[in-house]
Amino acid sequence: MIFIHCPHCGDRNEDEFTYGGDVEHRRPDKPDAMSDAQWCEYIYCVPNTKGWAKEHWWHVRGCNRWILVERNSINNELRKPDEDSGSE
Amino acid sequence: MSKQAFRANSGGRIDRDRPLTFTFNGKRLGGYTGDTLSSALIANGISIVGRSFKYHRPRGIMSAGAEETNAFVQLLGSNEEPNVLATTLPLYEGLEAHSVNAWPSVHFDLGGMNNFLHRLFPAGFYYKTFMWPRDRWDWYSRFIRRVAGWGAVPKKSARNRYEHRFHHCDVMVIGAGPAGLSAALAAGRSGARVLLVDNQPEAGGYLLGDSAEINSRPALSWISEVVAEIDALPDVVRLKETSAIGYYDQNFITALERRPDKSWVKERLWKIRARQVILATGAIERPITFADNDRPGVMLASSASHYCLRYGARPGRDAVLFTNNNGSYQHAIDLKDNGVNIVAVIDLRSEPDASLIAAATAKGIDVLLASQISKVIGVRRVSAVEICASNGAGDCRRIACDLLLMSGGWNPTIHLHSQSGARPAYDADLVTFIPGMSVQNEVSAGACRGQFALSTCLSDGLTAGYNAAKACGFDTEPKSGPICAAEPNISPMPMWEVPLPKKSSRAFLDFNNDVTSKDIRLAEREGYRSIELVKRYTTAGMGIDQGKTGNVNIIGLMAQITSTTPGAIGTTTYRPAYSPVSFGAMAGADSSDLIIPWRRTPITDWFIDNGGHLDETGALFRRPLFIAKSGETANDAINREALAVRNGVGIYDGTPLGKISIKGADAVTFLDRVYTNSWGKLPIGRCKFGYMLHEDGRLLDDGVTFRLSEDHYLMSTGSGVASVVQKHLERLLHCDWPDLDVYLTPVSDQWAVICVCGPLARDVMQAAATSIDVSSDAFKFLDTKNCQIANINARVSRVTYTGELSFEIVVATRHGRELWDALLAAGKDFDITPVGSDTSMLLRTEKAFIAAGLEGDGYANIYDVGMGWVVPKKKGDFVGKRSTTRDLNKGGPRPEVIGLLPEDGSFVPPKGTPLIDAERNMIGMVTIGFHSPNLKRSIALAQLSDGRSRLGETVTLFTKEKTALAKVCEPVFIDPDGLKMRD
Amino acid sequence: MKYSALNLAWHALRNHGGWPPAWRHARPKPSYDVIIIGGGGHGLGAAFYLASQHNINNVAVLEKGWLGGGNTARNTMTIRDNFLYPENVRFHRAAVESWHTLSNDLNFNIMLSKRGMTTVLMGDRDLSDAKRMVNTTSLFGAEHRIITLEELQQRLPLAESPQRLPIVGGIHHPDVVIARHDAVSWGYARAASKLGVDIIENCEVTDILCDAQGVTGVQTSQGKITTRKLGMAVSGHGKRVAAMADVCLPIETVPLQAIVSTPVKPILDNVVVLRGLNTYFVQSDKGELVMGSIAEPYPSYSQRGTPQVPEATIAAILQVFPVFERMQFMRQWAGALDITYDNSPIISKTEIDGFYVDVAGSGGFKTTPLAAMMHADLIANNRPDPLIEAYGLERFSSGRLILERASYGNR
Repeated sequence: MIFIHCPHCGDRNEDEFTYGGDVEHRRPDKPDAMSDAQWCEYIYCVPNTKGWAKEHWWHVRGCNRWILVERNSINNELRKPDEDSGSE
Repeated sequence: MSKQAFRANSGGRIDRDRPLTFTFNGKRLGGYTGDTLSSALIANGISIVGRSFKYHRPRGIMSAGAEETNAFVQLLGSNEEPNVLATTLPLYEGLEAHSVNAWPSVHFDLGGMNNFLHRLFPAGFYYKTFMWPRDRWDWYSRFIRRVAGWGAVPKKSARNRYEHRFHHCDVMVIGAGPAGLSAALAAGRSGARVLLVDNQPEAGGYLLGDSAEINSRPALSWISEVVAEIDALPDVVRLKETSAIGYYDQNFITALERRPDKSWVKERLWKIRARQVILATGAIERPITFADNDRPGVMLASSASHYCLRYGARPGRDAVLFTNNNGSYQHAIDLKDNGVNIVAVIDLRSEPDASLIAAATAKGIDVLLASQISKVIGVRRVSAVEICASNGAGDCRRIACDLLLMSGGWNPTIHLHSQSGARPAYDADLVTFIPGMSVQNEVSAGACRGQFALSTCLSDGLTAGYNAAKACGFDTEPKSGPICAAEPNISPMPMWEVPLPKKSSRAFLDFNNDVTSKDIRLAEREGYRSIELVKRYTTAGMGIDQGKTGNVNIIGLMAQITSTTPGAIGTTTYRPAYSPVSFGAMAGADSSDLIIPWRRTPITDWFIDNGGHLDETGALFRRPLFIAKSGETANDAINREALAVRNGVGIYDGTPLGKISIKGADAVTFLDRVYTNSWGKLPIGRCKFGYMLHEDGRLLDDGVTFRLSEDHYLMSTGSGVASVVQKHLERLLHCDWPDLDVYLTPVSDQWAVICVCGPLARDVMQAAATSIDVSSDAFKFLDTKNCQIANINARVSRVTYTGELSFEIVVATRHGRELWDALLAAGKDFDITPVGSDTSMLLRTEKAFIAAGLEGDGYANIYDVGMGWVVPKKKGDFVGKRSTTRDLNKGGPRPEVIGLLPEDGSFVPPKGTPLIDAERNMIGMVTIGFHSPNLKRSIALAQLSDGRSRLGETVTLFTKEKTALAKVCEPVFIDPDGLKMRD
Repeated sequence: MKYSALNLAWHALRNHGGWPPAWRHARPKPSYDVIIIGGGGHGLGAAFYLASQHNINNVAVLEKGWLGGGNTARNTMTIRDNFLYPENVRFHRAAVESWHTLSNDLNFNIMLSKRGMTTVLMGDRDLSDAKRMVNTTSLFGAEHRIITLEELQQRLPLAESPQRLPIVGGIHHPDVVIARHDAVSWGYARAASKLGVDIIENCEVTDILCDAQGVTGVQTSQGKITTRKLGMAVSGHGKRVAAMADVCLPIETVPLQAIVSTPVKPILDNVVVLRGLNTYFVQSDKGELVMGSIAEPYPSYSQRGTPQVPEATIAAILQVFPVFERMQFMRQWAGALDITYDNSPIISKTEIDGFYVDVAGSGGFKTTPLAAMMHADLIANNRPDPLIEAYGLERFSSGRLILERASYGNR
């Protein structure tokens, strides 16, 4: 039961949130300009960082906002993401 | 009832004015309030409480706490329960218990044969045999399973109630011994919110059974003062009989409260989030590994003195103490002072602390140095021990005794620390593992950190409490701790196995699973060198006690065998639960119908009252599959409902449909990107069908989206996927397209949806006093209008899921039932027929309206399901587009959706029926099949490999029972031009 | 030294002092014909089959930690074939079969018990999905059978139909077996070692070396080792290891937890699946209930477990078996699963010549012998056996996935 810091609501239990994926896995701007191979890599090779990664979490049973969370996938340690990356 | 022959006449914390009776192995015995089951058994002189797991050796009580490895009993009567620890079970009137793992009785156990054949059963013997006849382990396992296992599951559930409770605090203190009380006091005084949990019925920890003094007064008076002060602090919560069992991420700790304050709650599981955690869990005394160290009458030294001082229960009359450390001398002296004759102290060391020898000698206790126990005499109870010099010199001597105390040093209770993710460190001076670097906001204090002297426990606790409170912003003046007598360091001598006298001798490390030092040696010899492999191969540490007393001895012995240090070997992973937790407490209130919420629509009660056959239909809804009249079968009902919709009028509760309100200046751009088709030209008051894809090209959902005003759209989604679609859209909007001015609001539960469908639908609408003109000219297919129906504000749309003339009426949920009743009344003359979801599914099958979850099964894409027409030729990017423009035929034929007409029109192929070719290769699959009452025959939709090019061919349907032929046809069975729905 | 009752008795007379190590603890040689990364059931099995079926004995198995310490040590022992898609049904059917000779092939009792499985169906939709599974699998000769509520009650006399999700019937799966999971890696290690395979523990691969022709070797914590053929059979870290060869695998690492109770006398033989509650359990030979549910909802390498999964799993079991109220939760753990994009196995060549991968897909204990055999065959012959043709990486570029995840049939 990890304890996620929502910048709008404070520290809340994991079960209020839904995991929204690695921030690095961004939808390409121009899919039509990509080769089949590049597109498949985007679809199937989602990042699976071992260690610290920046992630989207959705506070779906809370303020309904999407937030940025930095989580260490080795031990589920959490920290606030860098200021400049700006959570929404 | 026999006299409690081993009970002291006075002393202890039992209430002699409140005697209790209980039954053990059929024998009625007496005890007192304040006893545990084990202290009462000891007071009654019961030495055998059970039989061991593998060899069925008689076993007695070894300890006085949660670390107990032998004394698991079966509780009987109304509290029936398997595997109950006698050492932590408070005695109550009428308690009934019996030993496990013994037949016919604990005194004469046929399983004891195993003990004589023990050489045949070394660690892992089963891996080496039972391979003949081939593949027949089942034969053997049936027998082995019967002799394995401990207690028996009760035959009936007592249906007790349990609850979970969340708790937040600044400082959580685990353990109310000297360190924990000090910590709670220091933190509590600061004003911090403190939670103090302890697994005993009263605070004090080991001091409850100890002769120590604090501030020159008995420690117990200090405890009562501190407890009184703590209990008076407004922000401190103290829980008794509560064991912390699991330490999870970000200081989330679970704790089991065994006797909560509410009588109707059997147990309560606390879920605690603490800003700071102080572990004051104490230490567990370690057995010594010597031959026959498992005999009844062999007990941990501290436990024996604890029984004597706390319960006035003497574990024996004449005792020998076998020790390797300074810590146990006081226990011998305390026992002596309380009526247990200490015949001798056998110290493995040659130079223990001189003051201790003097103190023991002054009490008339014989101290033998550099000596060890080579033999234990007595099978059902220790009757004597044989003592030899450690260096083997001189003669051995035999000493008669009925109690053998052992003390192999102390293991800090680092389980929770380790569960928190930290790695314990080996301390060579203490010959044990102590907490390592903390990885969470957690600190250990007192004995669980290897600080064994009372004065350091007290000061350590104060410091920890002060620091933890300070870390939470509660800064106070630290106070110094109370004064206690100096104690020598415990200075244990490493001794992982006392040499065994005979080849056949066995010394136990894991008593619970019957693992001996020979088993460990065998595992090492056979190459199972990692401590994890040793554990798995020998099962050491995997018993009910999870190796609380045995683990360090196993690690030490492995280190000795492989000539390395215990630190280099390392520990195995400690995992929850520290103490076992009942299933009932784990589940809490998540029982009966509370386990999964039931989403109801305003019409659900009507269905329950009128023969609706409810079933789980996704998204937590239970909906009627059909609404049977009395005497009707499911098929009867579905046929009747389907005929009514095609020929008369039906009414359907569509409330579970997902509904998402989409608002904002960029709503059209957004819809264009998430749907395959274009949305720019949709006028206000009209709606349109849309298909949504996953990014990988699979079908996600389909539905109708309404344009309600200039920049307000309302999307409907499948009921089962509503939350998936919501997340899909929200993620795109927030993470990929934050620049879009679009806001989504889920409104599924805000609106009730009722569909009136069938050729007579318009008549019903008129009869229900619809405030607008519903004629086909005024209200066209795919129009959506606000109006009043039966005086209820509503929005009506001409959309259909059945292919008939349909009106979908949306009203505020609170008016749903009112509308339903009004429509039923208005439709009475037209024989309006309530329709269930199976019928609705049949109707859409007749029309071959594609369902993403069925026809879109597997990797079928939008072209495969015949919906290519919703993808305009020239459209910019949308989610899933790039995946459908891959070279789709690279891998061969596609699973295309077609219709099937079974040759035998009475055979309905169930969903998922394989289609096979002549070689029995699977070439497709039925996605849905029904008996169509309108066509008076069975029909199906299916995915078929290159199916579009096989129209008119015959394929084979395969079910487990039979095969059948079916003709491939266009997947529309009724009204192919859609004239009826547009009427 | 052969394992047998006779030998056990003979050694008993000698106090078991003469048993040799089950496998040689080898130091790495500079070069091997084949190197397998991962000393669990799949990796050791591949090495064993290379040696026993393809006469390739100059093989090393590199294990980062202790043998069988990955998912071989962390699963719920259940071997089943209730899949929905033909490729998976065919493969898993054969995989279940492949277990039956294993104890004797290895001369190591892996304790294969023919327990059977009972799936409890809670609702008409469960039932209709069950029919799909039964019809599809029976096409491949499986014996799954829908049973009535009455028969279910006979099979599981302790079960009660819960209020919220009433039981409508069940599926009986007579072919489902369980095995002593740890023993599988030990048995393979011993048998492979006997055939000359070097088993190298505490040897972490830190890089995969390639040239224009393909794989040339690996860099490890015990130095560089050269080879032209490299097989990967790691769980939980498949993506990271493959990335060393610049191969991106479509997998995510997700923890799957298991929970055990304290041991009790036998109460049921079958593996029991509560389909509507995503929960299953089986009683081990030792008497513990071994329980599991679904994987965590987010990727992680943490194997510590969470409080909510044991609570939900046990609550689900109590729904149907209220009689277990006073049983006790004893221990929980988590394993790191490599979940493929479509939940189906990958046993495939890669774009790097000589680099082969065996990824379980959704927990691979159940397929161990067959997957290892197929992996070995693929390495030896450089072409997939028809049984695993569908498990190639090509399916991702063509989009022809075997989307076992799309329906819930496999649990």
